[in-house]
Amino acid sequence: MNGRSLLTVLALVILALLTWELRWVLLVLFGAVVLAVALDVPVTWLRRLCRPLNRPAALLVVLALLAAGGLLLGELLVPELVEQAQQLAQLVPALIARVSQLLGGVAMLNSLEDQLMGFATWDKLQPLGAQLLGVAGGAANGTIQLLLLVLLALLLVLDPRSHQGLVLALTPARHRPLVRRLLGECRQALGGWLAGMTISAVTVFLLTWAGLRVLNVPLALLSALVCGLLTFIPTIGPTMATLLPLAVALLLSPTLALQVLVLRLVLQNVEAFLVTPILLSRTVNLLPTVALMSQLCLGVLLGLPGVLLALPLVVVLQVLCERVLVEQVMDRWT
Amino acid sequence: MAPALTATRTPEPLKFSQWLGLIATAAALLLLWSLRGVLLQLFAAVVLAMALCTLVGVVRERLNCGRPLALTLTLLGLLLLLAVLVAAVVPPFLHQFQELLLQLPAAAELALRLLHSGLDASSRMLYGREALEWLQQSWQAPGNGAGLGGGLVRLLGLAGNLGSGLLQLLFVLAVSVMIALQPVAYREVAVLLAPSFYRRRLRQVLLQCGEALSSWMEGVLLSSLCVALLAGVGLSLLGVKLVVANALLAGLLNIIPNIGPTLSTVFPMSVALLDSPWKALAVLGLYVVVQHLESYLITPSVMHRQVQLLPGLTLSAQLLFTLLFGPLGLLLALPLAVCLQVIIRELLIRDILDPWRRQRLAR
Repeated sequence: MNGRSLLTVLALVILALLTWELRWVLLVLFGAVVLAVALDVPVTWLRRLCRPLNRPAALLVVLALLAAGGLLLGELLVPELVEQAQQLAQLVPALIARVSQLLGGVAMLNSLEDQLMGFATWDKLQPLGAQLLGVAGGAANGTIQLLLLVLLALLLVLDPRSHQGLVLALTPARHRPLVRRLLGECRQALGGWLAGMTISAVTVFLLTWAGLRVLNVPLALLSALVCGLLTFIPTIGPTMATLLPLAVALLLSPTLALQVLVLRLVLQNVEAFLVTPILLSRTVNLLPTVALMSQLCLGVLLGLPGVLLALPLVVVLQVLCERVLVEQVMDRWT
Repeated sequence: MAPALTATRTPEPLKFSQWLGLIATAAALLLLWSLRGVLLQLFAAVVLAMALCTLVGVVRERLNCGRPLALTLTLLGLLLLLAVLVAAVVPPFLHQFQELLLQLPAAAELALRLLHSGLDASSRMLYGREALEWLQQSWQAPGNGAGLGGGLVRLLGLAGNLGSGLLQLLFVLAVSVMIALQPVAYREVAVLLAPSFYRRRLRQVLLQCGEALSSWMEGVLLSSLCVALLAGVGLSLLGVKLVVANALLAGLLNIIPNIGPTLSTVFPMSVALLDSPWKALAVLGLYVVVQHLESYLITPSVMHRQVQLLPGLTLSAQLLFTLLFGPLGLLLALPLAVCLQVIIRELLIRDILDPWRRQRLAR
């Protein structure tokens, strides 16, 4: 073993360790790339539609359209929300009274309450305050990371070609055609996944809205919006999304809550086993277990952000595995 | 041939690509180690899926229908069986259990009094003073309030554990149904990840693993049924309470060798102790006899020869997997050992170690 290869191996090991240390930054970067691809799809489409538009202008148009859509939704939502909030304010005391009446029957809980009151002395609350501060700091940190992510995504969309060139320049010359092809394929897979998920999220949104309207549940639009947005996080998202309309319906009556639960279960299963596989089978060929497994594994390795970004990561990793590990390494190993 | 082998024979310096492969392998192993909990759950799902696949194969042979339909029928049948079992077992069990709970304080008091007198005597013999009082004082020293608060926290932790356990169970069930729906696709993915010169052989080995697992499961099912029947008959002859529940418990715990049967003895013995001490001894004798019948008569005649594991191997596998993976590892120790046996026999011994000697002789 000569000095040169020793140096290379050492550099590779250090690089791998560094990557592991910086995994949070890399995760933010990956989120930015996903967002950039999501913005890039309509931008390219718009530029193809009307030729003379350059990239910044097209991006501006897309952003303006998005902002307009958001405003429209807000205008639709805010009056309803205010009205519902007032109703909610009337409902909540009644609900609390009902729950405490239910719980008051259990004798054991009274002593528990005394216990809890005993906890509420000053020096016992102090660590709680510190924890609260920690949570607030975490939230601020998350907001800053989100802002950075959006900024990075905008920068990436403005000039994707030169960023691609940067990545290409970092690879050995003889592998550059392969890397260029890989980047293209990853972009295509991510775009396909995003398009499929957007269609399925819109479907879920419309169906949930219609269903909640028929059932006459308050806050239908907001609940449907949340459900649609959380469709992007498979397996965990829809379950979490069910909680909001369920809680709202529970305030009114248990039967309504049951109806909402059945509706959401039906919609969720239709989405998970019918709409998404059909939409994704054309663009990304993911086995259903792989998606579930990847969420669990990335959750173990990277925590909650890993779970949120699990599916786009797996779409990219699948392309890389297929093209590099299977075709370049294993197929040639005879 | 694999480069690792050529490298060991000719002491050339490793090439850059080989170093790259080495580093990648080490990183992959580290990743797998940190993901071992998830991987174990995946293995549990695969074992369940193999059981489902075996059943689905039987159904398809009989009815000559497609895989999704057969899977649906199998799942429905299993659910029906479970519902019938629960309906048959739970109400009498609950009834008897309530009686047991009513009788338990008396038994506990008896056992405690026996223990107290024994402790008292021994402490007087050893220290010459009442060690028991000191023990009691030190026991009651921590305040009641803090104890209750700690209990609450522990209860919350237990609830969280239960929730995560339920989630894991759900995950295992979902993955096993998904795998049972299209097993060939998953096998082909696993085969694609191997070097191309080895793919055909790996497919063979995977098929053999599946066969070994399903035949092991058949054997375990049969021997568990026999154990449950024998225990049930023996207990009802002895006139011990909770016959059905105890027999079911014995059958279920028979899946975990060595430790399971021992655990399953505790409950019927404590039930019998309530009646009279000699009955408890009789139950112990019955379980020992059933256990020996199972391990020396039923299992050898039911299991296929290639699936059978040596008793020492079984125990060491249980110890190893419990140390590595925790309680779930203990539960899955036997299927893991069955799979590992096939893999070691085929990959390590037939493909690496056997040709090695021949090459040496040739040189």
